[in-house]
Amino acid sequence: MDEQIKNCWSTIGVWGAEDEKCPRLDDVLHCRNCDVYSNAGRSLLTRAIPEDYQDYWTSLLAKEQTRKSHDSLSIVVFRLGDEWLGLPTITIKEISEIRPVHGIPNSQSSVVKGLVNVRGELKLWVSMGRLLSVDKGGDSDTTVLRKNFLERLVIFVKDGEQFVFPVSEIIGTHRIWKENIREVPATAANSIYSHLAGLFELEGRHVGLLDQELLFNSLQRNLV
Amino acid sequence: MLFIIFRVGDDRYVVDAKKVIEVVPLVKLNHFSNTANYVAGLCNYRAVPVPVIDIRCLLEDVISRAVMSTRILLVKYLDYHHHEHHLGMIVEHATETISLEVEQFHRSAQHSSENNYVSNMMTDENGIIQWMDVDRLLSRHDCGVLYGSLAEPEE
Repeated sequence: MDEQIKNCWSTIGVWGAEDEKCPRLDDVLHCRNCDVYSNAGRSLLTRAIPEDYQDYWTSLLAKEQTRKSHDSLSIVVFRLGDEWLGLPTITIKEISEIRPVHGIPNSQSSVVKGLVNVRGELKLWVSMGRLLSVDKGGDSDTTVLRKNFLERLVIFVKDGEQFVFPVSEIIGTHRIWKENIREVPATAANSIYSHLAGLFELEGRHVGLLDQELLFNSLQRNLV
Repeated sequence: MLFIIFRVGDDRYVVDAKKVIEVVPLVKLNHFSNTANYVAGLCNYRAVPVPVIDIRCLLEDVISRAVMSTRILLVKYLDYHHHEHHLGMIVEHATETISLEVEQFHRSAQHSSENNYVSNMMTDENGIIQWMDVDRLLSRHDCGVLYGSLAEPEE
């Protein structure tokens, strides 16, 4: 189809600057609900197939299909200082903005930093970095602004108990095949490794999957 | 019931989505010699050769345009002996699925020849939609040519 696409959505549609609006908007409310818009989008598929695209698909289709494993685990991947870590999504109740922490007087624990107010509920703020002996990391290349911008609070829940800990950055939720999760090397004696259930690779990063039981037990031991 | 809708010229056709294994872009095909002209070639599908037919060529004797919206539907084809084979169908404008009720379709009058692959049709606000029966696409002779020579072990 060589005909020019009339981009009515950016003239009289919702992205238009003109005062006169398309009469269809009364019915469809937004251009994305309008068939003119969706048909224009589909017409983009009426273009020639790039050569490399065709080659890519030809070879992709010729390959044996990778065995479908239904044994997968949904993992929230985050960064703690220099370490990439993951926790099963099921153990994470919420990820929220950084909130102020209120210190607890006379607290002896080095792991418990204080209390944090999450929607009216007071929860324990724990330092994962301290627990796992992870350095905050030399964020030399990241500016303070960027650093603060990426920081999030993770609310970890286990057996009804909730712990809040800050992380440097959240990468997102990923589905990892269990067969791709490797065992932790037995020689690794670091505190962080003793809390790991396994290691996997994600977009070129080595991510340590935290063992929720070990983490929970360790947190409880360090409460006082 | 879910269908995959496509066009041949201006006419709209649907195939049962359950018959479709995969919808893939128009990949490069190997030549399949001594076959009817609507047989576009052989596609290497997961290391198994699968014959691919051009639906527009079958209906209108015109080769489908090589554009992004022209795709190959890899379908489960049941031959005259009820053996299942894979078959590729090159169709144009295969960009959408559509949900239709079986009751909406009328049985069409013509069912004389052995390959009456369009047996049911219905109408909506945009015109006629014809239901293409995948299992009847190939004539007995063509089926023998396509799958006989491949001698693909089934079961």
